[in-house]
Amino acid sequence: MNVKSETSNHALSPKGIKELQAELRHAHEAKKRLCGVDLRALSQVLEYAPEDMTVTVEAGLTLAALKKALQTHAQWLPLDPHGCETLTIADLLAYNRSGPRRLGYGTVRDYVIGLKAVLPDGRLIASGGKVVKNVAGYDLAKLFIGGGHSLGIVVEVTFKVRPMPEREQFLELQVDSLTEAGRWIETLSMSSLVPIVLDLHHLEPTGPMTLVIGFAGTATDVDWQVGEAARLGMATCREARVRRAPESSVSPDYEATPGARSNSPLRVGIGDLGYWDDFWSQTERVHRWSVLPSRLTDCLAGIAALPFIAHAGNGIVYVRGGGQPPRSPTTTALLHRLKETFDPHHILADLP
Amino acid sequence: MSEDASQLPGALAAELRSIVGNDGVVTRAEELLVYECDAYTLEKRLPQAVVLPRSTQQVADIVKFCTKHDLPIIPRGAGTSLSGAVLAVSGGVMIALPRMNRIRSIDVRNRRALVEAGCVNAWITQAVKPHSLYYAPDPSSQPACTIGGNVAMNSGGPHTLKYGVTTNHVLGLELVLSQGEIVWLGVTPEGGEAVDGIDLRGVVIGCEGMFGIVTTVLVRLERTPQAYKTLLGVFESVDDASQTVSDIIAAGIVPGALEMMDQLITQAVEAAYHFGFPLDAGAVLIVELDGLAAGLDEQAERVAALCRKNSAREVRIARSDQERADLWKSRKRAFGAIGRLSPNYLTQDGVVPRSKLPEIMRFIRATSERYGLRIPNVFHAGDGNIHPLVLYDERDPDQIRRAIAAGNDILEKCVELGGSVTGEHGIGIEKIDFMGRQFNADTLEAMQQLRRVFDPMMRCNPHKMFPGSKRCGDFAPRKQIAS
Repeated sequence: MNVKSETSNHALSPKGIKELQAELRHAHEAKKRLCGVDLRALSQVLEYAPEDMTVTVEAGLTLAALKKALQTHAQWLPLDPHGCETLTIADLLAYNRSGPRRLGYGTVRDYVIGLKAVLPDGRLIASGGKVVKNVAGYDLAKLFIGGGHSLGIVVEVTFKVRPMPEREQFLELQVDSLTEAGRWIETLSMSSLVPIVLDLHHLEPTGPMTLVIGFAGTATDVDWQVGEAARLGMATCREARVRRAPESSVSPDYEATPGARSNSPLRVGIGDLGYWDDFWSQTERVHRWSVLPSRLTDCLAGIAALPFIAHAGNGIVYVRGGGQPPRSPTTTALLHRLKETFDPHHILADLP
Repeated sequence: MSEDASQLPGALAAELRSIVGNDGVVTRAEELLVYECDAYTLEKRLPQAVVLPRSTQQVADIVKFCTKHDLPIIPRGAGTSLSGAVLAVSGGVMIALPRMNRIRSIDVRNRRALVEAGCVNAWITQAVKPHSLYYAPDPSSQPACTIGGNVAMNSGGPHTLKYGVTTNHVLGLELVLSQGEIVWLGVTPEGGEAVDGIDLRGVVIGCEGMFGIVTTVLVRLERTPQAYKTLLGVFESVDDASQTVSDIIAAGIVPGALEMMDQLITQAVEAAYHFGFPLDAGAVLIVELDGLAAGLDEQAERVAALCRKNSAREVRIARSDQERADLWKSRKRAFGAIGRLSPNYLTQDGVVPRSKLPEIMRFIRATSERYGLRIPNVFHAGDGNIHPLVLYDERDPDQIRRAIAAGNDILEKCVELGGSVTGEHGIGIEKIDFMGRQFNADTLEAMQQLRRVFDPMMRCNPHKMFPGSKRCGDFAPRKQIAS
């Protein structure tokens, strides 16, 4: 994690929580701004209870490593931001990163059931716990989701996890215009389908637009939805290319069901979506727009010539280039009071 | 802050009337009685006045009035809290929101609804049902409780394993802060769902009315599941039923609801309603699957097979909506059946990791023997949220004492097993003394610091949640209202 700082290049690499507490306390007392905290030494899976569908990890663990640990019991954390090989749990929360499957599964705030964080003055605090239902005390965890490490350093997180679906299947359809894309999106939104992904991507400035729809669930559920999509007119679409996860994600329970197409590239388990990873692998600045889903095509009209990926079911667009989207209004006074309360000497990152 | 809980001076009452009108202020003692407690009836205190605003601006003006006259503020929805969260511990002005109960708008295409905080939870689903949508968090009190109250307590219900709780279904909210400022937190009605920065909306949900008064809520609507499949299994023991729950989870099935009732409840329910349950059945488990119709039958067969694998005496599968409603009646009428067993009961609320359910059930049986009180159980088996019902007779003060002690022992055990002292009902005043068992001093201090960011004078809903809070003086136990 690297936080830009104009005053200091003091970065921490604690070996454990107590050391982090001591170092933060020291920086707080000395009013010395930090430029980062490297949590690589805190990267264990602390506790995994598949029968409870909960897992507790140190925040320096990468998302990919966590997913690998869960795969052994055919469970997963259905969060799919790009770059999970290097994305730490700490950064997942701090930057509220998400991916295409947010349509079907929500975002990180829907999976955090407990956490521990070290405040700038060195105190170790906890929120929530290890159980999926818990309303004791305030939901302090939400201070650390989307906050960009500005109020404290998260050191431990407990997630609720889900069983992996028996099958995931993706279809893609090339569309010739925004109007056509809009029609498909409306049709699919008002249908009985329950896609877990509905993306419109436009990776090359002069290239075509492609609609990707993903289904997940039991083989029967997925087959029915694929059939229903065909009935709605998506018969011309083909199976979307899905890159396999680095380790084989096929667990012993993943048998091909009798109806599965034998040459389907998707019979295996959960894979990374190639178009999503490819989009982020370039270096040019990406802007994020967020609008009502019903206004998506209007929003896209202004940027259709640029490379973009739109989560059509969520009204979110990532655009490479183009103008800055309008910033949502913020409750400045409350946020500043939060910062002054927990980090009065500004040793951590600024509020986002 | 004034601790005098006597009636509000006439001049102040008149000032309140000038804000909300003559019919919006209650100051006469006999009319205030209705507000002396919520559904946690073990402690009572009259507020000095109850005000019923009709708009956010009126709420803001009342709040400014309270600041000017240094009065505590107690927000109230329907008063269904089971933890005393709405108790006017030190008197003050209760701001009751049932007159702000409109559904302002429904956006079917974008699956959102904008509702006033006093809107009853069940009305939302009723209003959007024709569009094949519903509002997912459905606490048992949903025909009465309000969305504002749900936000304050982060309410749950029987469907949380699959669908989450209130915080997973509230996109944004309007909050009146303790000095009268009105802020909007989170997603706006016309705005996109991705909002940058710290999730202040999420921080407010579950604050038990201490960060301000929620006046308007933007909720997320879900698509109504295409189909349901409901099963009911009759088991020899809670252990067998719990093992079935574990097997269902291990099979990768996430039911919409998983409700369990133990032998005592089953006996009461059978005596009252004659569902045909054997009186020596150890437990009844209701499993509700939902989703696409295509895959449900096979899932139901798998669940039925798992029930039978765990020696279920009988597995009933609903074949129609009517049969589904019939299966649920046994669970929904459970609390009503308690009257057969006892004149009074304490509804407890605790959580353990699901794998520890058999252990907490054994502990509850041992606790029951230890205190000489019967403790039937109804619980949300999927998420480990237990509701032991400690039966007692209020005419015997010793039973009251033992009932409270039994409930406390169970909560201590929940913490010991890695759970929580509250899954749904909140801390309120009921569990103030348990906060220190669950959180360390630094965490409690950080929570108070957070609260003061929103409410520097701690004017909103004071004397709740934190150890060291002042308590109501007297203690007049009464019959518990069913949850």
